[in-house]
Amino acid sequence: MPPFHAPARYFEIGTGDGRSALLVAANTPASTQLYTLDPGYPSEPIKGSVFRNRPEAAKIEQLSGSSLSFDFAPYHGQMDLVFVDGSHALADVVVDSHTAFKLAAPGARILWHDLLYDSCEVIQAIDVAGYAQRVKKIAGSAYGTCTT
Amino acid sequence: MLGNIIDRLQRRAFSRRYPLQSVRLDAVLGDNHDLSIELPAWAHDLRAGNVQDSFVIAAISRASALF
Repeated sequence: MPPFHAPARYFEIGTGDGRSALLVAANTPASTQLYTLDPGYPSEPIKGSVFRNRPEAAKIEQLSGSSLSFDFAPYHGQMDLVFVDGSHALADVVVDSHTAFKLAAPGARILWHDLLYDSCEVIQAIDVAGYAQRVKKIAGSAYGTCTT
Repeated sequence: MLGNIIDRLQRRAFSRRYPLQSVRLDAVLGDNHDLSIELPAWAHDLRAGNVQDSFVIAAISRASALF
């Protein structure tokens, strides 16, 4: 595996309750900027509820919108760590995977969550998107990863 | 019982149709090993699989930060 690029900027597609963003925030320098996008924010209070009111939240910017229509252009090529954990529908994961590569800076790392053979849609999407040869499943976890 | 068998067969079929290479976490972390991570209390309240996943993303974040 190539070495990591310093994770100055992190982009997450799919905030959920915010536990992943909090874990990244808690394990990166204070200068790291985190962006997390979810169509349920701000209307659904659960989105980001895990990090809300915690000190780490100062590093996290919550963005509102669907990853299928959000304007990612200002973030293209700037992210050092990208996490794909939005909709798990096949077509959506295909789009989000392509988006992840556009967001990633050279030498960045991309993570996908829920690479499970139980449902398989995320794994199938990675195949359909043409990244199956690049993405490796992290043993003992539900993460897939590759570097750019 | 029958459902479990069908699930297992389906997983096997999926894994054959969409094989992915596997990599160990320590290989992902490279030289920046730092597995001395204490997860927050709420992470331990999650299902076992999610605790492991929480550890993985924390370790990757920390390894990236150390580079």
